[in-house]
Amino acid sequence: MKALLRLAAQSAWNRRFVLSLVVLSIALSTLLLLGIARLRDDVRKNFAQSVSGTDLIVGARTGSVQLLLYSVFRIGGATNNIQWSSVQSLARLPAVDWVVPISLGDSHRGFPVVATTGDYFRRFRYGEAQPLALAEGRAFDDTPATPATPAIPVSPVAVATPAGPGAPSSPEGSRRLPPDLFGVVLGADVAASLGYQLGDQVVLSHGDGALAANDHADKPFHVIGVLRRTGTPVDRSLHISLAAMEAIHLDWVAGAPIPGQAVSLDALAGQDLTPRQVTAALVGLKRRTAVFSTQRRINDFAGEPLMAILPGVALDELWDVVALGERSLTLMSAMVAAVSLCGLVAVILAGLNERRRELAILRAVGANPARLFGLLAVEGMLVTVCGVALGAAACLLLIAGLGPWVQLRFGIGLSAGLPSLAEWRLLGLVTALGWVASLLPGLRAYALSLGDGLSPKV
Amino acid sequence: MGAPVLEARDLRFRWPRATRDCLDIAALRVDPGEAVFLRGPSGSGKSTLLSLVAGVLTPRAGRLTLLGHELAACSGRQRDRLRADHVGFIFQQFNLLPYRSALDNVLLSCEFSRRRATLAGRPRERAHELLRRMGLGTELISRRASELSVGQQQRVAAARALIGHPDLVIADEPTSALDDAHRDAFMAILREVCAESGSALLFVSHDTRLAARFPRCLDLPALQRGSARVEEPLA
Repeated sequence: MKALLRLAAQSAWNRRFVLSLVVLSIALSTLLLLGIARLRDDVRKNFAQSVSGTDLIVGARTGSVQLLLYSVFRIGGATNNIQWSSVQSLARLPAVDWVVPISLGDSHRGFPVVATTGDYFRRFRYGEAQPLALAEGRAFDDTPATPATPAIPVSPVAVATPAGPGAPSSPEGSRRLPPDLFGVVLGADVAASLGYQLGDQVVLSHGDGALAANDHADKPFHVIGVLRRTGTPVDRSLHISLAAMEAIHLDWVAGAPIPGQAVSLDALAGQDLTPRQVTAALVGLKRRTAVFSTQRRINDFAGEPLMAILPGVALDELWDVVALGERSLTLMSAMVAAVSLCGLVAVILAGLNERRRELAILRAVGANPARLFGLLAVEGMLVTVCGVALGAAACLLLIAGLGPWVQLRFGIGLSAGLPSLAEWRLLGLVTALGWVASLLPGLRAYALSLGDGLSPKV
Repeated sequence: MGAPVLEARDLRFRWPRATRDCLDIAALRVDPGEAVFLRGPSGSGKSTLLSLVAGVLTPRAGRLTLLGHELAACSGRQRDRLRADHVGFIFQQFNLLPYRSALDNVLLSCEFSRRRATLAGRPRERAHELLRRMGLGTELISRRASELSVGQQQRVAAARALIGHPDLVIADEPTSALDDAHRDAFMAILREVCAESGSALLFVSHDTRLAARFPRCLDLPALQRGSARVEEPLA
């Protein structure tokens, strides 16, 4: 057996060029299969980790997957907003612990802008219930420090009505703007890919920023904080206060500035910056057991058509949608793997004719056909194992090398760790199939060595 | 003389899909230590006969015994073992695995047969000795077979056939690629080593000039009968 292995190694070394091509093609298909499996799992993990600790997400009536996509993943857009009064009503529901409203729609160089309250930084959880943390700077704080206020302030900004005597309903009578009104807190990826530092000026664009004229250059923001990396869509978001969102849109109607109505920065102090509408609200309950009854109450809300979803349930629905694409992707990579295994068989079969003399010599010195079959099977096994190992190593190196770039560019955190159990199974499957494929040339060699006698007809 | 090394009786063979027999031999016998020249033009079934003797092909009818073993009655594995243990082959050309050194090619016989490894004593030293006697210097011995000349390759093949005292050495046109001077030297050393180790030699060739070196000559076309008999082309 040792002699046979040595012979196999010598013979293979003699044909190293062709065999290395085969190894390469197996490596490529392994890379593809493993890469797609890894990407799929990591995307799933990323999605699943994006929201945690939020019991309900409330938005205007739409599909639950759509609501989840725009409120958590900033994918797609809301068809409708919800009234600020509805958010206030939500906060008053007995089972509700906290409500974090979010307002979407603007962007900055492709990154979505999220307008929210300071509670966002305290309440939002991701992964295994991890809170957001600041890498540097501070978060904006717009919660008035009055003990009587509920978790969600009735009026998030202390600036309410025009100044002057006889002002109708200014609770504190204050006329100053909050200091952080135009402060923006950046997600880790935004700061990293745009190279922003604390204090840098940021101009937001209206909508997705497709129209160059559609920007809010008259009201620039400055960076007051940068969040630590979370591996969730938070990394790709810019966070501003709801009051700021309101402020930059005061002189806008239906997605365009009103000509001649521009509100200057100085004039802001006299404006009511309470948001009129928000896009969605994240809701935390005092007890999780109340989740279904609360969901029902919100869905039956009398003021306007609302919809509450459980993030976990909506994620499951999302997987159902995504599964189809995943399956076709898996099918495609399986076909690529099959093609490269066919290539392996073809290469070995083509080489077999040249090896008929070699097989005849081995038969003459006493090798039986079973041994020759074994020789080819061993070779096929080694080639397959080398290819699979190379492909897996390349895949992990590639993920380790390109991971940071993919994180910045696409916001998908890839894990370069050792293969999981399922991935080991995949690698095992490829190896087994490769080995089975290499038995075909072995069988052919067996037949040739039986039929040729000692002098191959070549 | 003891039992024959090789004995054929009423041996018939037909290739698959062929319409007539390729071989039909009434009797053929090679005794231990005997050197036999078997002459036959190309296409007369020489190589087929050798494949039958090797047990690589099986006859359609008749008896073929190798060292007293009826080949048709042996399993494939037993025939392979018989061949590995008792028969050495030298072909016309392409005898060697090109990626192995001359020495490793000689040792191939011992790798597939424990008997021959044992009989060779210390196989590496025996291989060195045989190669030296075949006229290959130390420098050539470790060279890859593909880097040797045709004449050198044939001598390596002879050494491989002879190592481990096989009972029968079968040479199939081993000298056809050699020039006259090399051929004579090759023949001399082949006969000499066969005689030394007591191996019978079945030498197959179309070259009648070599027949004079053998005590016994057979003519394959003359051995054939019936439909397998082909008319010899006029010289």
